[in-house]
Amino acid sequence: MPRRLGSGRGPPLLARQALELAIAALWAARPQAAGLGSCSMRSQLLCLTAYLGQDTATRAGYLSAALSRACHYHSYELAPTAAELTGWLDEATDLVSLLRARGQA
Amino acid sequence: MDDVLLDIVLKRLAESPLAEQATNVLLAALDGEESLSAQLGGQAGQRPAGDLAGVASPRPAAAFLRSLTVSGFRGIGKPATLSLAPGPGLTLVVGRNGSGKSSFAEALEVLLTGELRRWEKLSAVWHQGWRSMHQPEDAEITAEFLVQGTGAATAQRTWPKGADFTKSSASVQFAGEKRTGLQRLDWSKALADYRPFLSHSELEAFFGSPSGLYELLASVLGLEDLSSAAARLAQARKLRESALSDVKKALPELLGRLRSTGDERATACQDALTGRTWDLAAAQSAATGARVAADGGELDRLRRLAQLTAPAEDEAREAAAALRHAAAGLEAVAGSPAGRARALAGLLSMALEHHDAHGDGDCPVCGRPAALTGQWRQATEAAAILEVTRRPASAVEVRACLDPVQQALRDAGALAADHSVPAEVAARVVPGLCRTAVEAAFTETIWRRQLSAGRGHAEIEAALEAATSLNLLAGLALTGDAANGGQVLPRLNAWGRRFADTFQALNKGAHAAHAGDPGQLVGDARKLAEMIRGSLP
Repeated sequence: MPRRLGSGRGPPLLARQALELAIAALWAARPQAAGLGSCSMRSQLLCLTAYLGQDTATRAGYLSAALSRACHYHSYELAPTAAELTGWLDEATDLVSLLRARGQA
Repeated sequence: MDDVLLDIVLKRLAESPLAEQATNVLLAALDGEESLSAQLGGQAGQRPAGDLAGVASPRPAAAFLRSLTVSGFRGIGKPATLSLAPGPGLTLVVGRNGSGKSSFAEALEVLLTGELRRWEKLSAVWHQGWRSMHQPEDAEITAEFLVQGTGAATAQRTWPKGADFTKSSASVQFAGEKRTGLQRLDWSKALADYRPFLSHSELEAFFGSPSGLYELLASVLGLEDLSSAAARLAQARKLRESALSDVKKALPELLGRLRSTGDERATACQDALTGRTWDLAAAQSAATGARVAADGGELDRLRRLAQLTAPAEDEAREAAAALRHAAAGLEAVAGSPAGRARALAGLLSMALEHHDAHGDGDCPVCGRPAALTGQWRQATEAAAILEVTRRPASAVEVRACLDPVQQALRDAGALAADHSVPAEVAARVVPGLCRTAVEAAFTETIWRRQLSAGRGHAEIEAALEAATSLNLLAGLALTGDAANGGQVLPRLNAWGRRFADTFQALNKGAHAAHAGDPGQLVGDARKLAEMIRGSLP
């Protein structure tokens, strides 16, 4: 980390990066999808459906959206609670290991 | 006792019968304290209302709200319409504070009931401020419903110029009928039993304490009758059990004293009272020297009273202290945000566990048939989100910000426009998203058309479930019958060749990559979805 992040912003940033790296690894492992790694995250998340099925793709899409919101300050919204953060981190851990398993398969 | 509840209890009894006596006790407990004590006192009271064949209490016709138009009421000035896709599923109405969300919700409540529960406890100022200050002259609330078995109905409530809140008149008009009073809807009992809306303050009250939550839920769901019957039975049982245990405690001493007397009557009593079951009649006749009827009357009652013992003072103090301690502990947890969240999470996860363990089935709380289906679990996926905004002069605007058709089309469009996505991948993913959009448009149309035709909810749901392919779904939407799959292409061709071609491309796209330009396909799918939504009556 280049500089210390405000409390509550660091974990979602790291978790989002972990998720994005796991998705990139998935594309890298499949020749026909290799170019996807350089696409926008929205496109990548939409394409997950074709490779992982609806359920997993929906989970990844939601997690990515939730983490992205949590990465920024919103003047009119409360910061995420500790329980929310823990939930997202657990979900990220789960999804990353699932993506890794699919990448190797 | 609520008729609907009694009906449910009687049905359950018919399915899994209890012994005659137990049935009588249960029904008496449901009827009330007096019936129960009469029944337990051996007075063969007449059985309370209804018999085991089941009393038929007519259910109100199910309905879906199709639109709600409000003007000159609360935060809404000139007419604003909230349009909903009539059919099951989750619809969220979102917006900032003061944008007019509650005005819609309260308008529906006022339209149907003529009053507003939330205001009951508020001061007179609230009752006077119900008109929109930007449109003080006219106030009008109109709702369109699709009623099961009857079709479309429009309900309306209007106020004369300058009239008080209570001086409104309401009417309802079913398609092809004359305008009549609201009672034609036959919802007055249902509206009283099931409050139309849980306002924020009512929801808040849920989280006071766990037992408060239960009581509120029970009262909202109309289940107090069941819980009070259960309490009556428990109380009656407790009294009897403690009397029995008192007798058992006193028995050894009595037997000892009987043994110590040489009297032959005492020996007879001793014989009657040892062993697993007591021969009370034999003991009594030995003791009194005469045969006494099983119902001993006054004497019997006095004997029982003589055997009652109060708990020791120390024991009572200890028990009371333990109870107070436990209640304080419960209170401490219940008030905290964690306690509230836990109570709610517990409720929801119990519902999910129930679904996991027992699969699809009727809702255990409200008994709605087949409410706990996979569809319910995934309801959020098909959620429609309507955003309410309020501009100057109380001009309220409702915009669909997440409608399943638009969402899928927007995703497909974004993917097709992203040229760094490998063509092969786009050709595989875009058609699927377009197909999702068209399927959603068909499904929405099916609900709207079939409900308008007066079909039942369960019937439509079964037809949708059976329509497992895009072609069957299209047949159901276009002709009203999935079996008419063969008519789909001719019908679409009648709209224009392009529509039929798009439909076929989407049908193929599910299995193989799309050969044409993905961007073109998204545009075609959008036109097809619009046509489906717009041109089918």
